[in-house]
Amino acid sequence: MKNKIYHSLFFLGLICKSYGKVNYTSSTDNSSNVNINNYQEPKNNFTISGYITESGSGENLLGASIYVPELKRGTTTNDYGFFSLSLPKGKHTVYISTIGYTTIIKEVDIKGDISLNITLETDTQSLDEVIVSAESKVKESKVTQMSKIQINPSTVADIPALLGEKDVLKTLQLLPGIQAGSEGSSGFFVRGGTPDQNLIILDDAVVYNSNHLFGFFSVFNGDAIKSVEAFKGGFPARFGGRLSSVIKIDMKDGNKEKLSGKVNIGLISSSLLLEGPINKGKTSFIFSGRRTYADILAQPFLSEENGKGGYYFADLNFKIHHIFSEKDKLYWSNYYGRDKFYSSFKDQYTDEKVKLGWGNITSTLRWNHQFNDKLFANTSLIYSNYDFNISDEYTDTYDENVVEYLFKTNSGIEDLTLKTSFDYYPNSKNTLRFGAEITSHSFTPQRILLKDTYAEDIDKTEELNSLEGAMYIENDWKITDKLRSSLGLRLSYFNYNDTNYINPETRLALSYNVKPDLALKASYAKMNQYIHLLSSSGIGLPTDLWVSSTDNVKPQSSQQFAVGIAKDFFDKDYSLTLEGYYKNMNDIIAYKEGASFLALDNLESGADLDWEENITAGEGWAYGAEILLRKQTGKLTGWLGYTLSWSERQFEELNNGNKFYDRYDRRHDISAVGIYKPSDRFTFSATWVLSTGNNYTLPNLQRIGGNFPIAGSNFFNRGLQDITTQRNNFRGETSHRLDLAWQFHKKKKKGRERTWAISLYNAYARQNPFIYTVDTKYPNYNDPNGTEEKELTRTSVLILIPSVNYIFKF
Amino acid sequence: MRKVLLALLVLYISLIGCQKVVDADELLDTKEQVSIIGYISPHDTILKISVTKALPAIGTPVKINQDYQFPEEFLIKDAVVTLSNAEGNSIVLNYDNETNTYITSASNLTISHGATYNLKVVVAEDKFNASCQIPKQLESINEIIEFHEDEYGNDLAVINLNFKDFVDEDNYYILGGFINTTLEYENEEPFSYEYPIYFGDDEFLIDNINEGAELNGKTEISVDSEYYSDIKMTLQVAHVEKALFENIKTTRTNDDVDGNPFIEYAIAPNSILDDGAIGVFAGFSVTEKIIYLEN
Repeated sequence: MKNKIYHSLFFLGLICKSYGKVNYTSSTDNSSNVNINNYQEPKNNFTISGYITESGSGENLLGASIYVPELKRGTTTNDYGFFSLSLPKGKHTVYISTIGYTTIIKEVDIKGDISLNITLETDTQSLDEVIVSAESKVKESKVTQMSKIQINPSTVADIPALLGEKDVLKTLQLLPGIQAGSEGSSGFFVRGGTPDQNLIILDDAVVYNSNHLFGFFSVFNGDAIKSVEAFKGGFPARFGGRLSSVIKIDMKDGNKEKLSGKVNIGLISSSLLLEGPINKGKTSFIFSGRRTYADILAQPFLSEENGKGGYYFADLNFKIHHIFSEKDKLYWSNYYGRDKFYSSFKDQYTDEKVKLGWGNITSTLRWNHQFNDKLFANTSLIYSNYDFNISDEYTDTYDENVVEYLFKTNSGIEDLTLKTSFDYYPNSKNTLRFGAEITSHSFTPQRILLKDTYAEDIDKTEELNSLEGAMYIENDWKITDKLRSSLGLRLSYFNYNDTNYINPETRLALSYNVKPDLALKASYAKMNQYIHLLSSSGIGLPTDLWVSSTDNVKPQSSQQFAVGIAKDFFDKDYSLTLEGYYKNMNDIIAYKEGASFLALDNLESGADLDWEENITAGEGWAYGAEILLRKQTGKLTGWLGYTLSWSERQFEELNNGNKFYDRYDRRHDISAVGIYKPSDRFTFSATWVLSTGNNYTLPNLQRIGGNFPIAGSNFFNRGLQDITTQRNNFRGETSHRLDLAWQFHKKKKKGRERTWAISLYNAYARQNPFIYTVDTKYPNYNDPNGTEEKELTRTSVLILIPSVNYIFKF
Repeated sequence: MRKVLLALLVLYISLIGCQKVVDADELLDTKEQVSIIGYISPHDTILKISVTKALPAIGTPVKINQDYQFPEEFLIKDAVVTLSNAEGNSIVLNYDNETNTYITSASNLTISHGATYNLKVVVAEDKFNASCQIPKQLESINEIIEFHEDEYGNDLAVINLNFKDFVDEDNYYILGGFINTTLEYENEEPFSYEYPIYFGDDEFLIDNINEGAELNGKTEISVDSEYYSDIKMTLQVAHVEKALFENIKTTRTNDDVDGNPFIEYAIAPNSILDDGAIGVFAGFSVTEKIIYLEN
C-alpha cells in the first residue's frame, strides 16, 4: 500500500516539476489593472490573461466569457476566475460578460503579453439591461460541452422553497433529466441512474450524504454558495468515479473589500452569513451557519419524567482565501453538517439516553499557482468524512440491583485525497487540462459496542480500506470556426486488498455550428464507479451504507451516448436545448429480495453480517429525451423543461431474472419556473412540476398456498398468501404541484437591505403520493357473511405549507 | 400562550400529512389467474396438485370462514388435471373436497429420482402445462447436537446438521424437521405434542459458492426436560428444484418483510409455461434422520 502511495506522489511531483520548467514572462499589476510586459518576443500572437472578479466583493467569477467579436475568438474563466487568450498584435475590442453581471467592453492595444484584471458589476445595479453583444456571452450554441446546466445562486434564492429553506439540490430537480425521488425529497436521480451514481462535490470535496431530515432538505446552505454546475452526460475527463452525474458546488471566497453579512430568520431554522476582509485585498473569510430550532421551542413542553427528546440539523461553512501574490493563492474551505435525534427518560428506577446522529465533515486546502500567462495549476488536499451512529445507554436500579446496558454502533466512510490539475492555453484554438488524483478510502460498514450486565460484551469492527486514483488529459479544440471538439482520456485505478482494477475511460464531445446560433452536438462518456451505496429506500436515509468494490463486488461501469441541438435566440435572449441520450450500466448493485440494511435488524444480537452476501449485481439501461427552454436575463427569467425517459434493470437474482422498470422510471417530467422582478423592491416567483408516478412493488394476487411437507418456516403458511408477480408492478399516481413565493425588498442606508419572503409550497394542496401501503379492512367478526378486504392506502405529505422568512443583508 | 403555540403546532402538523384509501383498479393492472401448485416426490403416498384461483390481492372481498376452510371463491373444482411421465404413462387426478386439491394414489404413477414428469391442467377452455424433474436423494445427513442452559435455566439443543452436496449442476436444499414429544404439566394428563424445527437463515442452502462441499445448517431449539419426555427429533433435508426452493423462500421472505415499506417484496416464481396461470410444479426428495433424546 505504501509503495502505491509513494508512486502516486512521485507521479504528481513529476507533473508539477516538468510543467514548472515552462518558460514564462513575468507580469505585474499596476493601478490601472493593465500591464504590458517590457519583454516581447518577435511574434505575431500575444496573450492576454488575468482574473475576472465581482465588483464590491472581489469574488472570482467562474465561467465568465472573454470574447473578441471581430476575430471570433474567445475563452471562459476557469474555476478560479483565471483566463488566458491568444490574440494577434493590434487593437481589439474585448467583451467581458457573464450571466447576472453587466457586460464590460474594453479596448486593448496588443503589443505584447498583457495582464488584464476586470471587475464586473452585478445586474441588480442596472436592471434595465442593454444587450451590447449577444454573441459575447456564453451561449449554448457556442460551447462544446453538452448535458451541462449552470445555476446561478441568485436563482436558488429567488424560487419558492419548502419552509423557506433555499435548496440547491431541489432547484436542480426542476431541470430536465434530474428527477426528484419522492415528494419533498432532495434526493435525485439523473438520467435513470441511482443516487449513489451522483458525484456531489463541494469545493473539490466529495459529500457522501447530501440530506438533512431524511431527505426533506439538502445539506447545502444556499447563502454561502457561489456557483452550481450539474453535468448529466458528456463528462469532461477531469471528473470520474460516478456513473450518472457530477454536481459541482463552489463556495464563495469571502468579501475582500468590506465586512458584510446576512441574517435569515425562518420558521424552522435561522442562518447567519458573515464575510469580510482579514487583510484588505489580500485575505478574506466567509462563515455561515444554519440550525433548526424546533427542538428548542419544544423544550418547555417536555419533562424528563415523561421523556424528553428532539431533533435538529445544523450546518457550518467556513472558508479563508489568501492571496500571496498575483500568481499564488490559497483557499481553505470547511463544511460541517449534522443531524441529531436525541431522547432521554429518567425516573427513580431508570435512566436512559438514546442518540441517533449522522453528518458530513469536509475540509479542502487548495493552492492556485499561475506558472505563466498560459499555464495555471491547482493542487488540493481534501478530507471528507461521513458517519452515522446510534447509541442507547440505560441503567435500571431495583432495590440494590443495578443493570447497566450500553449499545453503540456506527458506520461511515473517510477519505483523504491529493489532487493536482493544470489548465494550459497553448493558443487560441486549444485549451488543455490535465492532472491526477489519489484517494485513500476507509470504509466502516459496521462497528458495534455492546455492554450488557447479563450478556457477554461485544466489541467488533468491520473495516475496508481501498485506494482510488486517476490521471486524465482533455483538450478543448476549436477545429474550425464551426466545428469544436473536446477529447479526453481518463485512466482510473482502484485497489482493494490484492485486487486491482485499471480502466481507461474515453470522453468525447463534438459541436458543429450549422448557423451562428444553432449547433448540433454529440457526446460519449465511459465511466467507472468503484464505491457503492447500499440503499433500501432510495430516499436518502442515514442508514444507507457506502461500501467499496471488493474481490467479489466489481466496479460499476457505464457508457453514455448523447446527441443534441442547441439554439440561441439572440434578440430575445432565449436558449433552447434538445438532447437525446442512451446509457447502459453494468455491474450495478441492488439488495437481494427481502434484504435490507440488515445491521439494524441484527445489531443488538451482534450477529455476524456480510453485506456482500446481501447484494446482487445486474445491468441497467436508461434512455430518453430532454427539452429545456431557458431565459436568463431581463425582468422575467426562468425555464420550461420536459423529460421523456425510460429506465430498466435486469438482475439474475431479482424478478426471476426478467427485465423490469426501475422504481424511479418515470415517463414524463415537466417543470416550469418563472421569476419576475419588475423592480428592485419586489420579486415574484412560481414553479409548477408534474411527473409520472414512481413504481412500487406491491402484492397483486392472493392465492391458496402450497403444501410442502418439510416442517420449517412454511409450517403455518398453507392458507391464503399474497404474491407479487412482477417487480415494480404498480405505478403510483401522477404528482403535480404549484409553489409560489413573494419577496419584498427594501434598501436601507449604507447598502443594507431587508427582505420579507413569503412562500406557499403546494399552493393548491395536491395530495401527492409519498408512499403506498396495503392495509386490511377487517369485518365485523360476528357477521356470518362478513368479508375482509385489502385496501391501498396513499400517504401524502407536505400539503399546502406556508412559510415566512425575514432576511437582512448588511 | 403555551396552549396557543401547542394548538398552532398541532394544526401545522395536521396540514402536512394525510392518508387516503385509493382505488387500486386504476393503478394496478391485475387480472384473475389460475394458481397451480404441485410438489411431487418419490416418498409421496398421495400425489397432490392444487388448482385454485389467484384473485387480485387488493379490492377483493374474501368471506371469513369460521371453519378454517379455504374460501369458496378461490376454489376450482372442475379442472382436468393430468400427470404423465416421459414414457407416456398418465393419470388423471380427482378433486378431493377435504383437501381442496386434486389427488391420486402414488401407486398409480411411480415417481422416481431423476425422472421427468409433465403436468397438464385444463380449466374451462384454457390449458396449462408444466414439467419437473425429481432431484437425487442425499446419501445421508449427519448431525452434531450440543446441549446447554440459557440464562433463564431452559434446556436448549444446538443442532448442527451437515451433508455432502452433489457435484453437478446447481443444487438447492431446504432444511427443516420436527420434534415429537410428550408434554406433561403438573396435575394434568400427559399429551403428545409436535413442533417444527426452524433453521432460520440456514433453512435455505445453495451450493453456488461451495460446489460439492460439505453444507451445514445450524439452529437452536428448546428441549425442556422438566416438561418434555420421549423426545423424538426428525431432521429433514429436502433436495429440491429451483422453482420450489424460490417459491418457499419467497413466501418466507415476504412474511418477514411484511409491513416494512423500505424492503421490496420478493417476486413469486412461475414454472407454468402458458399465460393465464401462475404457480410452481416441481420435484423434490427428502432425506430424514430420526434421533431420540434421552432426558
